[in-house]
Amino acid sequence: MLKTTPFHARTAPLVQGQAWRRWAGHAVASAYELVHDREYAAIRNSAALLDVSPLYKYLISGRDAVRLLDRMVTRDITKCRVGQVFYTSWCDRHGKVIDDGTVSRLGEGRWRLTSAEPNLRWLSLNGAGMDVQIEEVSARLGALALQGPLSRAILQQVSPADFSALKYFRLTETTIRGEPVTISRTGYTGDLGYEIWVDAERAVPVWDALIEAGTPYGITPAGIWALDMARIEAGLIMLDVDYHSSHHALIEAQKSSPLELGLDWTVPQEKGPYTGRAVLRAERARGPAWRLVGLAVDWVSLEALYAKAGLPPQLPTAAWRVSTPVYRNGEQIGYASSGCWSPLLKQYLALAHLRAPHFTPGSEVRLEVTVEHQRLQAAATVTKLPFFDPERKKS
Amino acid sequence: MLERRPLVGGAAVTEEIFPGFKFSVFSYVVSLLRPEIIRDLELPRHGLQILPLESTVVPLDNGDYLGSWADPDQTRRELARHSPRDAEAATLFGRLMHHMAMAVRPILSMVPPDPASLAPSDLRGMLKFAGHFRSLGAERFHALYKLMTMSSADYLDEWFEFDPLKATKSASGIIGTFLGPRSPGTAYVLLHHYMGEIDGAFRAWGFQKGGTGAISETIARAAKAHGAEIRTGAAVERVLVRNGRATGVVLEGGEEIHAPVVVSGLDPRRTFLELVEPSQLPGDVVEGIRRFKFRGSSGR
Repeated sequence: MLKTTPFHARTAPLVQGQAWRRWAGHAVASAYELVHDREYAAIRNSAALLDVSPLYKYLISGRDAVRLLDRMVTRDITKCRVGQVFYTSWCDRHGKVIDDGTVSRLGEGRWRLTSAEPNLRWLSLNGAGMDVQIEEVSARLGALALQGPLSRAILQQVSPADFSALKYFRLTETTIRGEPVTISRTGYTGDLGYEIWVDAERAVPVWDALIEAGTPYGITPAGIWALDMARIEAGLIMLDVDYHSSHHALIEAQKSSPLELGLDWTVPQEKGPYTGRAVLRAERARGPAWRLVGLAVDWVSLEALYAKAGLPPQLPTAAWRVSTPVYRNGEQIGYASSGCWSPLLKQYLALAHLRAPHFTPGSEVRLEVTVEHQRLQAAATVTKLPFFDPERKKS
Repeated sequence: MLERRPLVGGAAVTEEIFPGFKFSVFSYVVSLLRPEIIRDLELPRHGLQILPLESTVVPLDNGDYLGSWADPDQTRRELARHSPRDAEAATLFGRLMHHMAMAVRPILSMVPPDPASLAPSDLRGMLKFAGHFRSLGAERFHALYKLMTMSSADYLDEWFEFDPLKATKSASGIIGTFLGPRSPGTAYVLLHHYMGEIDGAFRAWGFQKGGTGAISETIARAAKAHGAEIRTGAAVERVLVRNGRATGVVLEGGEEIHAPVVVSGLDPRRTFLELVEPSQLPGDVVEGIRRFKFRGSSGR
C-alpha cells in the first residue's frame, strides 16, 4: 500500500474519478474532478488548495546548522535572515545537481529544508563533525499549497497574521483558526500563493478552515495535473522529469549542472566554499554546454501539420513528460522534457534542454510533434522563462 | 547425451522427494542463466518461463523482520523503519552495483587470456581487457578494485549501519564459497546478486515454472529439436581413446558408443582421472587436474 497524507480523510472523498498518482511513496490526487480544467483555472483566477505533504522535509538545528546548509547548497545561506526562504539547488562535488528545494530559516538556529527526494544521508554526510541536529519531519508535517490571486484574501479570513506585510519568500509562524501553523509565501505555480506547514495531527482542522473560509472566494482543491500545467507556465523544473539527480543518474549525460538548468541565479558569483564551487566557477567562465529554456510552439506551423492530415489541431489536455526531440537545420540540438497547452497564454509551451549556442532567446527551432502516428516538426521559438510571471506573485 | 540418473539436469533438477510434492532439490533460483544461452537455444520456445521472485523476508531475533519487495517505495519504507540512513544508502549502493555489474558483465563470457603467453590471441585478449578497464575511468576502476579485493563485511560496513541488513547482504557474498563474510574477495561475490538477468531486466531473480528442473528439461527439449538423442539411466564407465584421441564412450554393461567428439559435463577430476586412463594424457595435464581445487559449499 502507498502511504496517505495527513489530509487524506478530506481529499479521498473528493477524488471523483479515482485518479490517484504516486508521489514519494504517497497516494495523491491527480485530479479531484473528472476534468482538471477548473482546478487549473482556480490557480490562475481564484485559489487552488493543493496537498503537497509528500515533499521531503528536514529540520536542521544547532550551532553549525547554517554552516552545514551553506556548505551543501549553492545559494549563499549566510544571507538568509530569520523568516526568509531561499529556493536553491545542491550539487555533488562535480557540480551536478542532486536535488532542488527550499531552505527556510525558522529561527536563529532552526532551519527547514524541503526536497523532492530523500536527503537525510547527504545531510548527515555533510554534517559530519558539526554541532548540528538533522531530523526528518516528512511524516510529522502536513503541507498545503494555497495558490492563486485570492489566496491572500482567504488566509486573511482565518489567520491573525498580516499577509499584506508578508513578502515573497518570507514566512511567518501564526495560527489558522487557533491551530499553530507556519505559512510561507512560496509555491510551485508562479502565482500569488502560500504554503501552509502544519503538524500532521492538526492537518484536518486546517483544511476544513480553509475550505470553509475559502468557499465564497472559489477555493478549489486541485491535483497534480493542474499543478503540472501551472509549473510549466512558471518555468519551474521538476526532478525526474526535467532533470535527474546526479545521485541516481546512470551515465554522465543524465546529469545536469544548475547552470545548464537555467538556475544561474541560485549560483552566486561570490560565496565561500561549497560543494561543487570550483567546477561551477569554471563552467560559468566558459559557459554551459546546455541550457534549459522555454519553447513556444508556433501555432500557424502546428495548425498546418494537422490541416494536412485533415484535422484541426489536437492539443494535449494535460502536461506531457515524454522526452521529445528538438531540431534546428535538420540536426537534433536537444530535447523537450515537459510541455503543455497553456489555457491562460493560449500557447503551446515546452521546457527544453538545448545545446549551445542554440539556446539564445529568439532562436527558431523545430519541436517534434506526432500527428496521426507520423513524426513531424512544428516551428518553435526559444523563449526566456518564466512564460507567465504576474505582478501579483511578488506584490 | 548420456545421463546416469533417471532424469537430466545434474544439480538443476526437480524431483518428487515426498509423494505429491516436487522440490527443486539443489539449484533453487535462477538469475545467472546467460541471456545468450537463452537466445541461442531459443529456450522460451521450449518452455522457459521465469516467474518473478517478488519479495524476501528476514525474520529477526526480536520477533521483528526485514522485508523487501519489488516496489521501491515499499522497500525503502521498510528499511527506513530500521535505519533511515540505510534506506537512502541502499539506492546509491544499488546504483554503484549497477555500474560494477556493467563493468564486469562483458568480461564474464570472455575466454581469459593467458597473461604469460605471447600468442597473438592472448595478447589481443590482454589488450581488450586493458581497454575495457581504461574505459571505466579512475573512479569506477577504484570502486571495482575495492570490490574485487575487499571482504563483503568490510564493504558493506562502508555503506550500512543496520546489522541484519548487512548480514543478509553478506550472505550473498559468501554463497558458493568456503569463506566467511570477513574473508577478502567476498565483496565481489555480492555483485553476482546484482548481475542476475531475466528477460533482460538487470538484477532480477526468479523461479522457473515447474522448478529449476524444468530449465534442464527445457534445454533437453531444445537439444532434441536440434536432433540430439538423450538417454537416461546410461552411466558412462570410461572414455574410449585411440591414438591419443577420444573416439567414444563405454557404458556400464559394456555398450560402446562412438563419436568424433566427446564432451563431458562431469567435473574435470572425474572426467580426466576416472573416465580417461591418466596414462593417455600428458603428465602435466594430469598433475594440473590433480592440483585443481574445487569443493561444494552449498547444501539443502
